[in-house]
Amino acid sequence: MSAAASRLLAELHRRIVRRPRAMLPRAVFAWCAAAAIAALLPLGLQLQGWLGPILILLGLLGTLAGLRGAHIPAWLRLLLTLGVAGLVLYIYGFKFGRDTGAGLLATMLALKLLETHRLRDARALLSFSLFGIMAAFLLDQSPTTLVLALLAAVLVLSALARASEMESGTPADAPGLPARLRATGLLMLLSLPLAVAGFLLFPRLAQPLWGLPDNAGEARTGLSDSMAPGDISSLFIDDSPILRAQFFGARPANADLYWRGPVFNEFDGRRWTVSPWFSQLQPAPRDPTDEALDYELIQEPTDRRWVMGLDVPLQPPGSEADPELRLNRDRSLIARRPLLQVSRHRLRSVPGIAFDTRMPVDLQRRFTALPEGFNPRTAALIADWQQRGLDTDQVVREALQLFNREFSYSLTPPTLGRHSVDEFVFDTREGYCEHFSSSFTVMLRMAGVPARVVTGYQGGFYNALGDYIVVRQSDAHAWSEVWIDGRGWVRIDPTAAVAAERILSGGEQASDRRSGWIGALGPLLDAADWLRHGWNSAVLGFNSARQRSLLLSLGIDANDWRQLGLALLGGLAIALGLTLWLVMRGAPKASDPLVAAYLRFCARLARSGPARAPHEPALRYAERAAAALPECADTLRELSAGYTHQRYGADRDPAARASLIRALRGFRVSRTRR
Amino acid sequence: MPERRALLRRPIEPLWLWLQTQAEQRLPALTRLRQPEPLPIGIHRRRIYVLPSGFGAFFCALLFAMAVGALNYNNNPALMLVFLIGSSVHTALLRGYLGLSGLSLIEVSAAPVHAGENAELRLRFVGEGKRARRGLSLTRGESTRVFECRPERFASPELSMPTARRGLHPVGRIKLSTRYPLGLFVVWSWLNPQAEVLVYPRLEDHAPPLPGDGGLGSQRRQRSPSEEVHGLREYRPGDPLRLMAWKRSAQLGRPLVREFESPAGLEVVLDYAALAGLPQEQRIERLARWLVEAERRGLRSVLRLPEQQIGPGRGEAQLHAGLRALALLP
Repeated sequence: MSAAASRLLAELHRRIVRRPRAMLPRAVFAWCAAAAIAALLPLGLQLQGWLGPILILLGLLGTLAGLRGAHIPAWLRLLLTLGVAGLVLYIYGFKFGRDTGAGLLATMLALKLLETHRLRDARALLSFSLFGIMAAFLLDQSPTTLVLALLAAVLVLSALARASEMESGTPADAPGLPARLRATGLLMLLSLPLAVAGFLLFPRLAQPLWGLPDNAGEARTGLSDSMAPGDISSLFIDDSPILRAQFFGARPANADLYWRGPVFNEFDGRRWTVSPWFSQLQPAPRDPTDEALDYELIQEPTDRRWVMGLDVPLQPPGSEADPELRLNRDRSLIARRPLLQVSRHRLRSVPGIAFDTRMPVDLQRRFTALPEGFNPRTAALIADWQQRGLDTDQVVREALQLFNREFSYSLTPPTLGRHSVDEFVFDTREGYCEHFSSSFTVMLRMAGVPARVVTGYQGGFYNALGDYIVVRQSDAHAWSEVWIDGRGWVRIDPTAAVAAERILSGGEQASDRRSGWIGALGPLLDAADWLRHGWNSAVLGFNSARQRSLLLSLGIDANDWRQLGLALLGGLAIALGLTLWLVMRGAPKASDPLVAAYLRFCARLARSGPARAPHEPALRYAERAAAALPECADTLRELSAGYTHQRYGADRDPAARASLIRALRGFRVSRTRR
Repeated sequence: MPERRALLRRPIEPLWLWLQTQAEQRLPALTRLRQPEPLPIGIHRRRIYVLPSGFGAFFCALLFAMAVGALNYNNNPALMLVFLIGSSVHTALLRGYLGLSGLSLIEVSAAPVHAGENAELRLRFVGEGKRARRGLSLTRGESTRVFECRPERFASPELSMPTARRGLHPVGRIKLSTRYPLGLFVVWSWLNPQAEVLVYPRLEDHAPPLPGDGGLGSQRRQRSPSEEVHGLREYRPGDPLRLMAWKRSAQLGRPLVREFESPAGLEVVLDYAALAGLPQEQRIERLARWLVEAERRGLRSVLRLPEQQIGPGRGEAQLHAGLRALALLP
């Protein structure tokens, strides 16, 4: 068995490795492979599960094979391609969306390494690598990805330079690895002014050119468009930030930090959903108030349309500047398109303000609707309460007391069956916010009180360094809203009746972070998050609206395309001038300090006397300069003679050489004259 | 692969040549392809042309697609990447352009060769400013040379130039181009320096022995008494080893050469008119061969051509004057 296997391996080895790979020199291939692997890295880290490591491994194997000059037969390549592509499709559940596309792109990139034989292939590989970096950015925009992508971009450009050298014939003294990386780095640094000008001034699209593709149900983790008890428990262990808010005035108390997400009106016995018809309604007009909180909210990409404003959000100020955002009748903020990128919003909210104080009766009826044939035991309990003649306030108090007395807060409650509310209220009696809010809302609806479930985030951690509040996925929360005639919708958080500390401390993660060894890291983590916040707000949140305000601060009206064009041209011209200046003055230093010092000496001399011709010997030049500047003739002759001796003479004295270098550096025509 | 490329090029080449000639005819000032120019030729912006290479065009299209995608998604990091790469591409273009701009061709020289041999055309460039200019490439016909020009230094790349006919040949059009640093753009300029390469006649392969006396060779070997050692002189490169005065050299510690006083009448007379029966080119080739042969043997020679006479004389000067006269015969 093992003999047969080893024979097979030997045969494979003979077939694969012994066929020489033509055309592309090893060094060029190594550069291209390094660039491709570097581009694969940020993309691979974003892929699901083991796919990334597998693809990176495949790429490394391809590199190894290429470096050894192996020729992979076409059938094997085809087999690998089909196999890995199939694996990608399988991992993503045969859905075609952004993530699947990125997975397939990474596969192609890794497998292209196996057939990089010629200059053409190498260049195709490098172009493909750039596309890979771009795809990585579509998936993730964190600083890690940025750093990896930047490294990959440097390698891609270096590999392009190497390939170009090969094309035109490699000179004898091809620069080594550090020199080449330095050269590329310099090229990119020189291009930086132009890139920055382009980035800031290039007109952004307020509307996408084509519809952003739906992500085929591959949305990121986060609050979803529906809620069934047990859904968001996976969020509680996800410590990634969802939003950061910076208040321009006073900061609300921690207990007021309710970030309003989707509002659920419809209940089918198990699942709460948003009612589409209700989302279409305009919000009820409201008197403007002065004590609104002004803040800026930067939200991480969610792939959904909800923007988590602080409860209760008002119409965003300057809605025309932010046409992407709309305030719904249910006071949730909704963007026109799924938020695939970090987005920033200028918002106003008034915690605890009354809204919808008047509501038509047929609308009220919508908020008490319940499906037939569910939860009979709870219905009986409520009927009992109603027979005792409790009014709305008393029903609310009774329910909260019930929760407070006999229920416990748990992140790992037993699963619930068909009569989810019955089982929760009478049997299991433990759960978290979804269970409490869902049951509480159902109970109130049974009592004929209009009620609904609101999901969002509760709490947040105050980062003193950057003076903002960061809210994490683990702060996900669900609460209830009850409509009371004359007072409008009132927020009631039944979870607070059971686990008040969760509300008051602003999320358990925040309190956990301050204990133990992590506590020592606290300031460091704060600083890191602050940097991330800066990155988000300065770079990721830069959009059409921000560009407008930037241009406006320069006195340019972005609506006037002529002004905009002039600004763009002007900015590019300035940047280009800067680049040109940098390129022109980028004089390579002579490697010998003595020669460098002498050349500087000549340059100084040329300012007040004759310039040295490139072929002119030092002594003859000294005579010419001495004739023009008789005041310092002796110094010139002395220095030039010293230079000639140190450079070409037989006996060189390091001390004399060093003092000569100093003297050459210190030489000034004006000083010598005196 | 090269065959395939040649195959691909075949239909394009005539079209390209036609376009070039059209451009030359219509825009002589722009292309400067026609008139040779006196040296030095400074390469400045008005004679530098830039076009993206094939891959460069593809790369720019790719960047454009990426930019549209990034704008559409309003994905700022991707947009930054696109702008960074895009402006790097632009800086690369600038680098390539600056590599040519400010370069001067100050000298063209070539040692004369016989027809049929390759002349080594030596061009001397100097660049103004303090930039190192890397990855420059010279092309003339099939011959290409890659070189670089450092600041404050001369660059002297050599191009081999095949020769077919004797005479003075203009150097012709030379393409100075660069794809440095990324290979995305071709920056080029045409050089047509006012310089000529002297090509000596081909040496006849199986020429008859030197005219005059067939016994001249044996005489020489026997050191005829009529030939007297005139004196000794310092060795000069090119002196035949036969003439070394070994003993005297060893005594004095420096190489010395015997000098003979050839009696008059012992010089070889190479007469163009005497070869009347042969076609003109063959006459010239034979004379060239004899001239070289006479010099090899250290004989004095006189070359009689229609309307001119070279010599009598001996040595490099006589040889080159003779060959030059032969090369320039109509």
